[in-house]
Amino acid sequence: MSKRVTVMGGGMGGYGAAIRAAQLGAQVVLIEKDALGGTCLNRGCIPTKALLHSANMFALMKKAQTLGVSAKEVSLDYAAVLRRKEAIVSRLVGGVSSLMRKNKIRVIKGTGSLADAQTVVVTGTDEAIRGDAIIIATGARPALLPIKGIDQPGVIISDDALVLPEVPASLFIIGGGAVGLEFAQIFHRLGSKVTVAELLSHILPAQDAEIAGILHESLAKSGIEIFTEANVTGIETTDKNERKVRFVTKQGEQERTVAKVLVAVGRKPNTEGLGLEKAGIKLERGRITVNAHMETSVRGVYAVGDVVGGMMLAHVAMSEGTCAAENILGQDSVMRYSTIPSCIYTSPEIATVGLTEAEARKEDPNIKVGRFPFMANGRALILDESEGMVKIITNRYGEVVGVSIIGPEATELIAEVTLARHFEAGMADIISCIHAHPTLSEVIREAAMSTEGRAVHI
Amino acid sequence: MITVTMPKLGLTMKEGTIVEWHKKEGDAVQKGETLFVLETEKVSYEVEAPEAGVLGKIVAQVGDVVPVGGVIAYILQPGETPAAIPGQAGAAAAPAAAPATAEAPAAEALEKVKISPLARRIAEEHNINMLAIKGTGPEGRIVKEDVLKAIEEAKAAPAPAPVPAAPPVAVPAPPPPTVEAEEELRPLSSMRKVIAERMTETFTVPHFYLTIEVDTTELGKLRQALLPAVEAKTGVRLTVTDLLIKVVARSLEENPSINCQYADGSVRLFKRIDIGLVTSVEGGLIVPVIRQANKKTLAEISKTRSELAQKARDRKLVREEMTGSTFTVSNLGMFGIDQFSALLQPPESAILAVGATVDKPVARDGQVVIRPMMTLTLSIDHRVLDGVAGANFLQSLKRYIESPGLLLL
Repeated sequence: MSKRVTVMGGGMGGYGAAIRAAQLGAQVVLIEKDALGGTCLNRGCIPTKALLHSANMFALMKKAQTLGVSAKEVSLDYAAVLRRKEAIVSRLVGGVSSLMRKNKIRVIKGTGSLADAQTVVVTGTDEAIRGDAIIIATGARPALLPIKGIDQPGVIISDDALVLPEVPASLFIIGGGAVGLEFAQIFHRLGSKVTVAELLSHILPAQDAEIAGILHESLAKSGIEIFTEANVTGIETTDKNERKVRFVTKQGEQERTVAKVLVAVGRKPNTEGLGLEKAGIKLERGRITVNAHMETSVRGVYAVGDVVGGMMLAHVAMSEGTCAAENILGQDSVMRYSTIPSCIYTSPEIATVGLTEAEARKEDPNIKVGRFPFMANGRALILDESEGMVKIITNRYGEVVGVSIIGPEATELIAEVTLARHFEAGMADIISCIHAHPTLSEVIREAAMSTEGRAVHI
Repeated sequence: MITVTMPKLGLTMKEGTIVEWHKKEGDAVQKGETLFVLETEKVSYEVEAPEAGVLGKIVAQVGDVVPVGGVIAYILQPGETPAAIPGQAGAAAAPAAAPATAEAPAAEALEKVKISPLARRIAEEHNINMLAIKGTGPEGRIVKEDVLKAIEEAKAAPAPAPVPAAPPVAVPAPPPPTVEAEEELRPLSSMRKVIAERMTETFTVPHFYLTIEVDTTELGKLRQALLPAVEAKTGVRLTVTDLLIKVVARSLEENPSINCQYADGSVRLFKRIDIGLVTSVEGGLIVPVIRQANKKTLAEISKTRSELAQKARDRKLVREEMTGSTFTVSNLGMFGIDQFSALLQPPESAILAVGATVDKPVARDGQVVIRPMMTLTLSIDHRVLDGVAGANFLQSLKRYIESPGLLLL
């Protein structure tokens, strides 16, 4: 008899797990309260990149002149931008639905709650679904800060920012992480006056400081106002229905009056109302704790994706979901987190894999760092996107310890070094591998060569 | 391709430890040749090649604990390539058709081993045998971690210690004994510890003794007659023991049931006749093994016995020279002992204790005559052998000793 698997949540982690379990012969029930596809498809990766693409096209058109192309009366139809975004999202969500059908996965609309370690009860219908294993993939939601005035109208989170009917004249973003900066990029390019306030000493605190510095400079140069070590102390609504944001920096107290305030200070796992305590599932700092097989403290109950914290990325959730499903169905699958690429869709883009220079140096003081600027790459000059660089961290074995790329198509270029790191190809292998010319990918090879002091074009 | 797995040597056996490899990857092996020695909680055991071929890949290294049925090695048969080995892009050599190029296939095997480029570089840098590493990466590929672990293990492994007469067995640490005045407490040597272990083990074996007296007149005459010839040929003085080994070997051929071992629920019958000879060395005993004693001439036995004894005294015996005997002879005759019973050498099921040759009055044709008499005592594992089998074996010995001319038949 086939195993019965209950999946709570239809995001990347949940539907990924459901499909893998079905492929391996399980009978799968998936419970989702909202649209299939979760944050990624509905409120994250996909809609933001759709908006960003329009914004980037708009920016590109405006600078067409520099490429010798005359484009007059370039204007933005934001309603059309939103429609396009919605169309892409609904197409992808529809795609997930048909995948569920194809894999004979029963999708229940509702909220699930654990009654015990084998049973999930659907709130509302009270249907009890008993199975051999449960996968919790309930995701996360934007976190809020206890700032005075955070509940004012006009203070929004990323979910809201995606459905604003029009481009706000001005936007104050609390949080200089990936989400905050991507929205800064989008709305700045769409015409908003954007201010970003980051609490820590540099934007993208988790990233390499040198790379983050380049982005900071680039965004600032394009007209985005950025404050670091900025502590927002309060938000008020003015008579003109604007938001006055007060914040303290090293320069003292400051304020900005804006149309909207976007809070982008991280994400909080959705663990409430799931009956976790009834099943005896352990949490740590608000996340469900799991082992390398994605199993929680309770046998047969697995958790994947944002709800387990760590790298809250769609591709991680998908991978964890697959891992959990495989383990439930008798395989021995272990999550490995050392070669997960991470991408930020600003302009220039940032993509990283492995350790940052600071992290690497902590482990091994004898690391070597290779750098290569896009400035010296022909293709980047042609694209008129010569800002940025590649930074490769290696060690005495020539291992790909970490790579940070900031520049054009960084999010695509990272695949090569991700594979190299995963496969344990080293500097020597990247160097001896011929890269096509003229391409952006040449920067990877040159950066590898520079770790040995033999880069050609610099 | 033949997959060599951990044999189940007993009903309760769950796993075994590889203690020694006799072959290395790329070696040609003959059917029946010893591949490696494994050790269980109870016994050490030589595992033979089930078929001839080339040892393609050693999966379990010395020290590895392998569950019953677990893969230990792969033997490639003629025409097979290392690519056939699971989890392995390729390994070891083609059949040793061209010994002159023996190095080449090894190099090729190293080229083809499934290993990440980084792991390969580190392995080469540290001179680690890539073929011996078990990969834990995707699709069983050897990755950096595996090589670093192998390096650590290589560092941690102690330099090979002088090999004791049998693999040492772990003993739980006893409480520290108290020492009274006028006493001295000396720690046991490692050899002594092994002897203590093994001899204690003997008492788990239900055994009994059979004794017979034999007249050595004719054997003595034969020895005197052959002494100059053997000495001229080998430079070694032919001993009574040499003659006894020949006699024992022949008698084992005639009584193959004696040449066996009890193995938890089965009896292992050996076709080879490898005779261990208990040899006294300073501080203990060592049992070097005269291989294929039934196929050796008297001169060859004499020469081998002499060489092994010398090596034993010099502590130069290697493990394979003192493991795997199928029957053992212990001779205390030269020390003037008339008769004794020897303890079994587990897992062997029989041992022959040889006493001194003493002139004794015996009755011959109704007359009391004086004859050189020798007492032989056979110790037997009663789980696999009974009195009659032992008696037949002793009768066979007696016949050859008293009429050694029969050895020529």
